[in-house]
Amino acid sequence: MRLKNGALSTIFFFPAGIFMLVFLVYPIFLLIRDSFYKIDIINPSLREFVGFANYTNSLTSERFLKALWNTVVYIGIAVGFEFILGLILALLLSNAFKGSQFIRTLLLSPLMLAPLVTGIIWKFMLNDQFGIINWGLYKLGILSDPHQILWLSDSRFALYSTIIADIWLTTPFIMLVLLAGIKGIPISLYESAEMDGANKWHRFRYITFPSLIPVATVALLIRIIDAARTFDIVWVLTQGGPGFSSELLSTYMYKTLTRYGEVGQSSAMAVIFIIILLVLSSFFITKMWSPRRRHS
Amino acid sequence: MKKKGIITVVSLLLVLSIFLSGCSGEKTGSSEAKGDNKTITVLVEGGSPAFKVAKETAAEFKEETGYTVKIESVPYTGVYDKLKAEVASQAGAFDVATIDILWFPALAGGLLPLEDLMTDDLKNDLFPGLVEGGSYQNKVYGMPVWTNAKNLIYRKDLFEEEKNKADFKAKYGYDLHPPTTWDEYRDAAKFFTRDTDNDGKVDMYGTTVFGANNGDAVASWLDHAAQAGAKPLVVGDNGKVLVNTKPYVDSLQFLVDLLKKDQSVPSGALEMASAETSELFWNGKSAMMLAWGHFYVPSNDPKQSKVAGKVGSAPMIGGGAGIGAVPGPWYQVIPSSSKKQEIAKEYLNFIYEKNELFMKSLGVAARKSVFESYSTQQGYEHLKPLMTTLSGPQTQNRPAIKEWQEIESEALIPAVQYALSGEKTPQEALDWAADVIKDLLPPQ
Repeated sequence: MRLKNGALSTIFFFPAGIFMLVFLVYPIFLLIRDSFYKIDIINPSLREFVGFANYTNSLTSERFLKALWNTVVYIGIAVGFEFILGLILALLLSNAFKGSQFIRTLLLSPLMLAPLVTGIIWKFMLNDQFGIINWGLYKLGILSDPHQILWLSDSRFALYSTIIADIWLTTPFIMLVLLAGIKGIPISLYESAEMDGANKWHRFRYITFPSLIPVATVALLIRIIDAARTFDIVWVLTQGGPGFSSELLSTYMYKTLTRYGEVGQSSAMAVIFIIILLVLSSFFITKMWSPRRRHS
Repeated sequence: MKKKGIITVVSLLLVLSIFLSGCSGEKTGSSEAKGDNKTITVLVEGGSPAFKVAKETAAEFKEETGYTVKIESVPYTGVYDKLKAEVASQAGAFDVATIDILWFPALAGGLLPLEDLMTDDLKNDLFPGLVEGGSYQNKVYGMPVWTNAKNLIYRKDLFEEEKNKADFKAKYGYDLHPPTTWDEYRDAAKFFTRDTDNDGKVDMYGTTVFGANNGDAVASWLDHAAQAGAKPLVVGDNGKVLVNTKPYVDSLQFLVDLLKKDQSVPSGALEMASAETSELFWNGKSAMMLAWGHFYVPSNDPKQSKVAGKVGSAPMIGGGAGIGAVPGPWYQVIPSSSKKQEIAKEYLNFIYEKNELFMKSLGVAARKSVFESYSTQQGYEHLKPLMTTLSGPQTQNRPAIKEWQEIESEALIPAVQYALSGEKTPQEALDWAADVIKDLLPPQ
């Protein structure tokens, strides 16, 4: 029986396997191969073998390390805020009240936008001369001057401005996933807890939160990998400036490949990036599987 | 078992057929390009004057030569990307492309030399530096379609108002006129920066400073560096890095002073370039702008500008070494992989004959004769000053080196922004930039 199942699974895997081989494994192999050469995009045939030079150049280059640090900051703050906000919104919307369906749909609308469009919308809103954010803050009395904060052109704020746009765009996603998770918790748990005299906070801490952990882990993992790969929003808002303060790994790799034509260098950076993400996600996946086993 | 065998075979065949259909699709694509059908493919930036002129003249070209003009329009960076891909793959997908002068060093390796098109008659009718701008290592690769430079565009009504004239004379001691030197420019900018509705906030500025995160800001600063005596720009002929020498530091200091000392420009300079500056000017919130010459035309168009009819144009200001500006011409090129090179060359000459269509569509062109014949027409008053700017003693192109894009992105734009934000002094910022550039250039 086992052998037959094995053969059947292999046959079913075969088409997808070939697809993955051609469109995933082979290009990654090419990427890794290119990373050991110095290649100019205009004359790709003139390639020069440089061994690990591209890797050492990247890992010791201030620009690369700054971009890496910016990416870490971006992921940490963006995903952190998105998770907390998403959780709060999911909890609020999990109790049906009048208009909750409508509000839920409204809150989901940023999710429908392409990141590029989001970037353009926020670029206009954060503009210090014409933007609505500065004008609004000034009218509320928080700013003393309508053009005071240079959201996108002050190197102290640029990265955080891009994070704000990302939070606005993706909190609905976390909210949706967590809401689905909350809906999946059996009501009987809540009922028995209420009978035992648990208040709202206890119910959240001992029922809601632990039951959400598997769902939350998946959501966090997806979001972290997505946040690491953010490109459109940052590119449209600041292009990595001013003075590299909002440069993420993705924008730096893009510039190295397309503007400077250094194929080998950007390939090496991409490989380093993939390794980091693989390590991160395997950490998450192992953590996700072990609590499951404990619970069941 | 037999059933399982059939399933395996069928699924294998399905997978194979998917791949085969994918491959054959590509083959039919390339055979279409190879075919002897009479078309030439032209690559242009979407919405640009090149696009409009190509569309307008396609029917006439077909009548004259029998060749259909197929137009491919893409966004600005798309032109560079597609041409790079073309040069790398030699696929013959395009016969003609309209490109920015900055892209020549990167693309020259895959372009057709156009020496035979450069007759003396043709060269004499083009502005100085245009033919050179379309060359790389002394071979001509580009046919100019239009040239441009930054010019002074100002509010004629404000400069001619009697009260302003009297107040200015009283304050500065000389007659108010469109500035011709750095000091006059600073004075005029300071004079016109005012709070016009008495709410305690300045709402009208003298002019603007370009400090955005793109090449436009660098071009603006290099205009002033040229005016201060820089020649050649940024990198010397022998590969020596010049960017932290006196004219560059002085010109960057000039911009920093406008922003920080005089405060005669909007404080968000780091977000301003052509689009934001013209928007401000068209809303009546600035008295002058140093903008690309052709911006004069929409400034006087009531559909786009609230100050239409009140706008004048003057030559670019001069520094210690005279009038200087960095031209921004565009060219038509032929990839050497094109399979229709003779017809492509005919197309280039055809468009050259129609050069005045660019003047009508954009407000600038490449041929001196077109400039001269339009400069007397109403609505084209910017042409005479632009001609003066283009012929200025210090007007020169940016260096035609392969590393220019990287130098601009990694060293020059950040240096300008460090200085304008106050993070570094102009000397510190340019010393830093010089180090970065030295690393980027090949060893001398």
